[in-house]
Amino acid sequence: MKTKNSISFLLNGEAVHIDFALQNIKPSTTVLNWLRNYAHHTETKEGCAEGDCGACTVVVAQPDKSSQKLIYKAVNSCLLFLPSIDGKLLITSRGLAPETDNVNILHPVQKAIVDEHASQCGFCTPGFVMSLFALYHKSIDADDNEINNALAGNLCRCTGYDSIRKAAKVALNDRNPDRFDQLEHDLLKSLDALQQNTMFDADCQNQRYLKPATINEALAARAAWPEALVVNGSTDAALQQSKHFKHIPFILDISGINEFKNFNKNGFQIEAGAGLSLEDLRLEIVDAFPALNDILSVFASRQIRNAATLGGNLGSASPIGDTTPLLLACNASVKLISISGSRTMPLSEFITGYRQTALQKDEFIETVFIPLPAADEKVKMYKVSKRHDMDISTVSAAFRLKINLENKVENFAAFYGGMAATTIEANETKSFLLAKQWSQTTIEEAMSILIGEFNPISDARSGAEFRNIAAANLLQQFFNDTQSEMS
Amino acid sequence: MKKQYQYTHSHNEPVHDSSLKHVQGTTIYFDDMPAIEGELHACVVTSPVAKGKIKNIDISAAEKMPGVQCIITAKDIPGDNQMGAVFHDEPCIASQRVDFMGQTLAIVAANSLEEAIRAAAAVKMDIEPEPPILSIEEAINQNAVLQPQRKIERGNVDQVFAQCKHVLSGRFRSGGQEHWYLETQICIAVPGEDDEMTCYCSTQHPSESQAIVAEVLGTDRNRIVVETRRLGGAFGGKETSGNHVAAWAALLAAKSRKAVRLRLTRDTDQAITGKRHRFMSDWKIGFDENGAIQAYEVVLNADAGYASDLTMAILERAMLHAENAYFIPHIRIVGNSWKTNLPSNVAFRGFGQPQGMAVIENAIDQIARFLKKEPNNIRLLNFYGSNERNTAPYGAEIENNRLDSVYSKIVNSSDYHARRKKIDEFNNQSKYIKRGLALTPVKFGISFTTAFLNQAGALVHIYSDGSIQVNHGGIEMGQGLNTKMLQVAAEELGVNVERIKVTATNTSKIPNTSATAASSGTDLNGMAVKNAIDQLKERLKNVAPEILGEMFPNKTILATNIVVENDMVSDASQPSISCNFDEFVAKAYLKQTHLSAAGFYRTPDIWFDRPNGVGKPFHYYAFAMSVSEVEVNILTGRAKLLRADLIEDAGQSINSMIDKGQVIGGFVQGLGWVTTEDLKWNKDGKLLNASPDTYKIPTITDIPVELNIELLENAPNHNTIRRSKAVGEPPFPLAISAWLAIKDAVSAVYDHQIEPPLSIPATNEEIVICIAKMK
Repeated sequence: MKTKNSISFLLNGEAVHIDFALQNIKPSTTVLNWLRNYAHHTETKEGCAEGDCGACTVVVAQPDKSSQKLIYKAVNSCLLFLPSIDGKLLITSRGLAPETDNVNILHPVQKAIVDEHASQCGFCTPGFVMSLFALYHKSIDADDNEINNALAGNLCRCTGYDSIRKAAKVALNDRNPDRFDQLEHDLLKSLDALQQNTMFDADCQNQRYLKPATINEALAARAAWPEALVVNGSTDAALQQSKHFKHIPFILDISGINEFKNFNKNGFQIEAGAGLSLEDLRLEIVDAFPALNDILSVFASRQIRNAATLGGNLGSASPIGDTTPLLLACNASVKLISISGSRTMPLSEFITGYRQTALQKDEFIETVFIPLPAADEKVKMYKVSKRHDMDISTVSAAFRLKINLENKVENFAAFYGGMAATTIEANETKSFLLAKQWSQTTIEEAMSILIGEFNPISDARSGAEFRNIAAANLLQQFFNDTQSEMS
Repeated sequence: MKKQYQYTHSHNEPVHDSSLKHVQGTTIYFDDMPAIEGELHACVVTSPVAKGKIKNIDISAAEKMPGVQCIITAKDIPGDNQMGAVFHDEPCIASQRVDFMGQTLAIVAANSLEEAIRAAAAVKMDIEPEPPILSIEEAINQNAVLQPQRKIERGNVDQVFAQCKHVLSGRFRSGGQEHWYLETQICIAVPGEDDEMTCYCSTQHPSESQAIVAEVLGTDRNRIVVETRRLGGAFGGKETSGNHVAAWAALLAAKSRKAVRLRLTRDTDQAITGKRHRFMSDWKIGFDENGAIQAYEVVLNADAGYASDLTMAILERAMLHAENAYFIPHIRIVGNSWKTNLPSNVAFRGFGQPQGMAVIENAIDQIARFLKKEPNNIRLLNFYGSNERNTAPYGAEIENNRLDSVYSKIVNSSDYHARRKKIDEFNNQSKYIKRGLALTPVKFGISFTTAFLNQAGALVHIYSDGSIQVNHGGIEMGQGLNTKMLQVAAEELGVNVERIKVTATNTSKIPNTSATAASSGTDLNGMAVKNAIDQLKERLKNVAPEILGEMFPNKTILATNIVVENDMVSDASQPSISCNFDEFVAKAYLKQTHLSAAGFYRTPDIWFDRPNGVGKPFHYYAFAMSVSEVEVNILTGRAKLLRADLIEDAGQSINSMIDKGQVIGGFVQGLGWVTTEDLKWNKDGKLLNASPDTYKIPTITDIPVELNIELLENAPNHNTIRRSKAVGEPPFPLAISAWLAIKDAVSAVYDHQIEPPLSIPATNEEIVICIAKMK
């Protein structure tokens, strides 16, 4: 099999070639560390090295499906392994305009920040610039919500954000073609020239890094090296390195496999490729599945969602689960694929315990099937977190309800995150509710059952008492929302 | 001058002097400095237990790890093993015992950060653990006193309490706060000859970092240079904490004879550095049927952590602001400092003032609920007067009181009364979503309460090409100090800002400086810069008759008629006699004029007698007010700030855009303190929120869509640089209005009949549990 041990990408338009063995660079070096320590592009800052502050935000651009247009995505460079940007365009704040001390030469998003006095210590500023730059290239109306959503993954401790929000509005209000629009044709050509469709296989500094180009290569690699850590967006895996300073001996990077990024939907179900980024998934289902959009909108930050995948989220089998309560409530199933075939199983069977799944050592999650709620069903998901955005749930809950014409509960499901070692169903509450009147009296009784149904822990996020009360209160919230929808 | 640098103006004011570099990323923070040949990377080895006796530290295995160059334990320190800023109770590296989890036991330098961190993990620590003290209550129970109690008292408190119509009392808690500056602590130490050491160090207090580095190295301060160009945020978190990193880096550099870069990772920074002080305060307030306060007693208990650091100064500021904006005839303010087995708590924007003020604001809120009156009426009734009822508990007069004018302004601009009505109507209709509204006044005393610290130096050079370099002792940490210094220097000298460069702060240019803290940066350094400029201007004027006389022969030119304006040196009495600044300076140099001047300033007439709790500790007061409206989901505890109105008295603002940035930034930082920023420790003393995934500062979505900010107009200050007022800290406690608004919303759950037992921070958990307790 033909392989390569180097990568090529464009940095602010200029071609860069990295031969890991020759240059003695560890393949899993993050884009942030490479920029700062090897390329002397210190404009990209490290604020936390764990994807929580956005100071390291860069934009990665690549052609869309038509190959006629560039798609710009803001990502956290601290969680991005270098091979993942092979063949792509990496953009930093120094690449938006020629270096200048003339405010009029700056990129419009940069100029707006200067004009609105929206930098103080300036350390977070390049990250904000890049998140705004990605938004500048997103062809949708940037209203307050969109601006908030695009910038919620960038922390600033000085300005209080007001001036930054003003700058965003100024910059996005009058969007003219920028340098990248003007150069788009050339950039597409340069990127095209970099495409090789060859498996990346580097072995350097006691680390083997495989990045297959095709699904067959990926399946073969998975079967041959089950010990390899499978990564896609690497937003979780990279923490081992960036936060815990652990050495990862073997990485199998499947971010290049297009077969994992399919998306289909019909009136009954969504078929989401496990390798689809959460933000791409969100954009696909905004109207089709509002409850999923609601939870994805507060899933980490846009930078994380641009990299993280649904497969990664389900595969990590965390007790919080993020999307899992909702997917379980909807009876989602997963298709697992290996070199010897494929199998499909309900998500409820796939997750077997605390961070445990039924995934075999030669398998990948290929597709997630999410049946859409029927017209007469009500489905909602709620997340309780200390901070609204960019926070992990303290408690989350997904509800699914069908009531009959006599206002009696015909079908009910409630799945909770944060209440046990895995995402868990409120079975006692469910049994109680079935066939009961969907009324405030019933709900109050159900809440008293619910409050004793789980035995959550106290941790950094909250005490057990709050978890219990909030879990019960979410049922009340769901009831309230069903009532206001019906009225 | 060869090049015209562009200092961009926007909204008619100069923007931050680094902003063009900020947006491009070309500003150079310490970690952006290129590596020095042979440079090592360092990290700290920290204690895994919160309290105990050190039996043995074994570095033998760690020393054999790949890439390791140098490991230092306490016994290797050539000088004093001390890094306490005021009291010497903080070892640089623990030797006999550990007093908090995260205390440094050894420091490691290796070829790379990864190698250093892996080697640190290989250091074997044998510590005999002891039960730690982790709360103020435990510290009180065990009488773990840090420093003797302080007291400020006026009137006959006990006697008046006995006669008061109503007396309320309670216990109030406010939590700590992590600074979360974006740039973590860092020092690059570069050894030189003869024990010289240059430290590029994240410090708000270069002279103190210099002193501590000299002490741990066992050398004199004249061999140590600390240079700080800018900080990526500080907020008090680099007032003393930066010293530690500097001392560790310098020790490793001195031993290895190589440059050492010690940058704390985010998680280490959060785990080992001090925070805002937690307070637990017992209060009692006596008042009449109208809500006029007659007596107030408060015992402020501060959690110092394991060592003194600046705790006593912070406690003192809390005490000096315990009455906030209110004249209270009979008052007793007691301050206790308690030792716990946590990192020594440090300065944080507000410096105790918010903690002291929150107690009385909560008490006033409670009075209003008790009397069923609008809280603002209670506030208004008790505000300090202008000509009477205007003496602080410590005897100083509250001069130029602007409370009434700020109050009437904000009540109008925020449409307070109409909104109060609407909110009541809303709450009557809404069971699960409640709204709340609150106004909070702030009176903030400006000056270091340790009087001698109120001094500053500057050094201004005019080079013979006409370009000017301004050096001062303050630190640029985002607050725009250098921009203001540029403006001050340009305006005082009569030249354009474009010819001025403000440089990195360096202890060999300005010695013996005070920290850039207490909101004093512009006040003190601005005056010092002005003093230097005044001297230079005088010299230019004195040489002008000679220079201009040669250019305009046969004219009589008097030095007293010379003015410098718009980059020209002219004779004000003869408009045709004028010379451009470049040419004039070149000639002045040839005339052997001294074109460099050291400036100095000391704040006049301030003093404080600590034992007796009386004095005039402040040069002046800054006033501010805010109105916040929130919406609380009582099921989930989510509180959303819907609108905030802020008015700040910044005197005659030097740069209103920079000042507004300080006000909003301070308010939002305060918002974090009163809402989502929550610190929890486990029973072993481990901080559970030691990383941004569990410690939550505000994001852009936490600020209201409607945020109105106003600086008080036509309000020049007296006897300060360009009649301005300090603006760094006073906005921080404005966020207490958001907390009170949350409390108001929670109170609405039971129609304001029950006092909500709410603490700071009002996290979603705190809110939901509070409502449960009210049942």
